[in-house]
Amino acid sequence: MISDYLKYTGLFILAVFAQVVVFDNIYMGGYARIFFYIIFILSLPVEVNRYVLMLLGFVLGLSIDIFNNTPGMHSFATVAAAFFRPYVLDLYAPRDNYEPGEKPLLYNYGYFWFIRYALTILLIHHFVFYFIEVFRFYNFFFTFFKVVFSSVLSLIIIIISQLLVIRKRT
Amino acid sequence: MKNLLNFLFKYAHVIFFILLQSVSVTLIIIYNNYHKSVFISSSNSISGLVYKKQSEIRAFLYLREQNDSLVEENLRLRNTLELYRQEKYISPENVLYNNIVAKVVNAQTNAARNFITLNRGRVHGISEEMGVISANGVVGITYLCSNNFATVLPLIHISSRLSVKIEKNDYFGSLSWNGNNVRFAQMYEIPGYVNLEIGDKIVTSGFSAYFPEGIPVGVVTAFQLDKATDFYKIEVELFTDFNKVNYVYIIENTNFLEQRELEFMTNDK
Repeated sequence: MISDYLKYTGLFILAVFAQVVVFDNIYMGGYARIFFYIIFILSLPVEVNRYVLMLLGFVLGLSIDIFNNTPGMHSFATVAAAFFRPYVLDLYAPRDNYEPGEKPLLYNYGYFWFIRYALTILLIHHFVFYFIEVFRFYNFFFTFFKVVFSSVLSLIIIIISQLLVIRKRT
Repeated sequence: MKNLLNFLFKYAHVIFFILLQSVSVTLIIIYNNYHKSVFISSSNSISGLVYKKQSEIRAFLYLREQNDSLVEENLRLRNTLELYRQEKYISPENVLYNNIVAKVVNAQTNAARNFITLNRGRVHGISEEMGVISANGVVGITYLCSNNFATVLPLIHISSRLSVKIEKNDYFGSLSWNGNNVRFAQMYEIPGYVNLEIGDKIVTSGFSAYFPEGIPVGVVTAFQLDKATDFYKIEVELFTDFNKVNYVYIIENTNFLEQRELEFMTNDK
């Protein structure tokens, strides 16, 4: 129980750290950015309370904002992603519903399920983030292209990280 | 009340979401310069819109007082202008026109013989056969008077005749109304060799004692040459819209009686 809290705190710190040190510095000519820290929102247990989820999203976003000197932008996008996560989970629920205690990770419900789930959340997050960044609907298609491209990249990175770190249960 | 609480309870997480997002947006707008400027400029445009609507409504509420004071000012200006009018239109006679303002209390536009009623009468200095003009142009001639009211025979009366001229070349003719459209009157007695164009301004000729020279009447919108008589029949769009004539000025010609008597004597001889 306590170890779970510790584990998630560790994941939080790791996500922020990795984002700030590694992924914030990866520039693709201004076309895309990698938002690795969403992995924290993705990995939280399915049964987590909506309010806690949103609050955690807010704190996570704010932490990234502090390092990026963009107060409010990441938190806005992350809270939006956290708000929609329960609905997305319901949308992609497997036939017998989620196993209680199983985390929504890569191996537990199948690759395709994870790709759908993660990509949806990522798309929501990036869409909100890039439009808040622009703060208007100017140049819509270019921004939309950025959204899609960034989401795909972030997805690839998140999948790779899971493949590397988590031991597959046979 | 219970329904409201139920609603709030059911959507509590949405409200929480909105709350968190509001905090985020506030942070964004306060601490990011770009977003701050976008927000300020858009909020300025919104508040500008609100202020504009507010001032429009306020202006509308004060419209009547504004109108009355403007008419009074107009009257003063017209009377002052009258003093200078003599210099521009060289008139050998010492004619002075004095203006009295009145409000239209009744106006008829749907008949062949239309009349307009004014809220000024003998008590205010009005008498029969005085010229009546509006801010835009000629209205008509006073017909009958009582102590407090007067009726006007307007241009849109089939018996109305007005001596008018084309402003640019001084050719004079006669304006009358055929009873069809209250916005248009007809001008006759302009010879076929006169240079005439659509848009020419028609003004009073000054030949009648009712109106000084140069009061606007209307613009030429169409003209037709009568092949038989070699005179033009001209369609004139009147400056005065009789559908919405409101305030008028009655022109008192101080030498009117003398001129009239002389003209009568000349006709009798």
